[in-house]
Amino acid sequence: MGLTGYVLRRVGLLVVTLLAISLLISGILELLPGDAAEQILGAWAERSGQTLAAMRVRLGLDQPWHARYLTWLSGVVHGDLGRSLALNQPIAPLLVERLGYSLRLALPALAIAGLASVVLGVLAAARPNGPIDHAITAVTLTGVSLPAFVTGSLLILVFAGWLRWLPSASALLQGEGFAFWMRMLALPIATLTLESLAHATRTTRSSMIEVLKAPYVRTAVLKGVPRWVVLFKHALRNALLPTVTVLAFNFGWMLGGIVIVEQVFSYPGLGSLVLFAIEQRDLPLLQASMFFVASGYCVANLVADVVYALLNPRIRYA
Amino acid sequence: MADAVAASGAALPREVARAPGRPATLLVGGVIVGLFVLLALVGPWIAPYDAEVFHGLAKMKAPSGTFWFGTDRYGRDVLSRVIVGARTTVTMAVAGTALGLLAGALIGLLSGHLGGVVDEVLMRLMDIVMSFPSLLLALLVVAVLGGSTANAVLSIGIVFTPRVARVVRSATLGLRGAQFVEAAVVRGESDVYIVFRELLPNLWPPIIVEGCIRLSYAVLLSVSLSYLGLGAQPPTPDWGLTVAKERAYLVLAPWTVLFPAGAIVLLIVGVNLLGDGLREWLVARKTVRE
Repeated sequence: MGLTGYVLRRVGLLVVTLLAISLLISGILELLPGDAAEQILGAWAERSGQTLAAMRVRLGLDQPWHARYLTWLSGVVHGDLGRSLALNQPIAPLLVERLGYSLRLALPALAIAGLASVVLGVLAAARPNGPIDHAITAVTLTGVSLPAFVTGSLLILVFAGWLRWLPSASALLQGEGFAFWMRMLALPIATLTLESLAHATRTTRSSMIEVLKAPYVRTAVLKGVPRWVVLFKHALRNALLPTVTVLAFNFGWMLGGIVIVEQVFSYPGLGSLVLFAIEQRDLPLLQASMFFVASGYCVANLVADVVYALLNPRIRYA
Repeated sequence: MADAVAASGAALPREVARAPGRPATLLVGGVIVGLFVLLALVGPWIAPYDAEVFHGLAKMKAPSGTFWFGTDRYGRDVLSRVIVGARTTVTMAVAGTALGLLAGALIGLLSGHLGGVVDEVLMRLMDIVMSFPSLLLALLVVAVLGGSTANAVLSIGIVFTPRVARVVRSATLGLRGAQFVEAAVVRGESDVYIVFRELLPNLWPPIIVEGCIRLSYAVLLSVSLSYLGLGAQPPTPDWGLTVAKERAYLVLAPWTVLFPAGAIVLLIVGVNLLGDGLREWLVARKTVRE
């Protein structure tokens, strides 16, 4: 079976998974006390049973939940995710807009973390248990032990509070241009990067140490190839495989972790939208945004698997 | 390999990234975690002040001899709040992990032992739950049930169940065909007997190791939920909650944020060290036996 077959199989599996996820979300939300009609009418709903019943009919809430789920699903297939109750606007464009904001955090963070983790991992593996290795280990392990909101708060304290270089919150800022975006995004991106750096660095390190034991590396060293060429050209090429996978999965992880980072910096991305939906008990928005983020997560994982298969032909025949 | 990485999902970045341990890891980790458990148990009685009392004349005071960790904007003693605040985080993390281990081990044992359709159905179900980013799944659960310590515990348990179930299932499969299991089958023992009396006693090491890995992640999840206002509720002096509430005073009174944040980090480091130490100890013990 070739790569195409592998990808097709994985995409088929993805569709099934997304269906199951949407079922799970709507099933769980079904447990929520009260419904959208009561949300809209608020306290008023208590008194006027007739209005409530009419609103239920209008929103289709008089239907059994499987009928409502099917309506919702066919809407999703047609790109209609319903209307937000709290914001009183269609959800789909809102999600796309917020996704743009979130990607502006996640993609640069991924790129920086990727580059930095490769360099740090190779440096650490060059002399295992040497001072550089220990320093890098200490820094990356600290990174893992710090929850995103602690890292974010520390960065705010240092760069916004003491040094006054950067703003502490993004939401209040208005402006345009590259410089503006850099100021707005620097700290959130730094936080996300630090959160995902550790894992990729340690993966590169252990994978490099493994590859450096290979006979062909010894051959390269013995024939007098400069050390950095051996490290970055001969060894890295083979050691990179696990790192690439880890980074792709990190992207999926970021979609979840971004909720915290966006909250810390009051950044108007997808994560804050999910939290807003929870706070407002905005059911349609909650259902749609949860599904949207979970889909993104699954797609990121799929891409990770496909990238891995591309780089490592052995996996396709598994 | 790729699928195996996918299986452990979002929790992964924190799990594999561990330092090679040293003999002292178990001891240091144990002492740190023990200290926090002690604070969780007796915190309110050993705190120098009442964590809720407003010292009206000492608002936002920097750390001093009277208030070692300073005071917050209401004049509450930060040290006392950090000590008393240990309880919610430790309870949520430990209870959530325990719940996840219990449910996960049960499902993993059943799935691995019974095999066939039961195995297939249970594992696909676990796959679906795992296809959510873990924080998002926890958010979904607390969104439905409302933010509280108990619901945070439940959500952590739900997030952990499929991950534990996978580990326990594969460990159970490893015992498939072992002589003592076959002997029990031949004796005509019931499935319940085989699962709990034959399989479970042999699966403690992987379950304990998994529990330690989970515990570190549970601390992270519970402080994150509290930070988002969906875990511990005010007026509890919970650490995550405090870091969120004092955010606006971060620059004016950094100690109100730095000390609870430091407590969180110290606890996570302690749990990581304890987990690494325990894992090494179990591996060493196994090697000696064999």
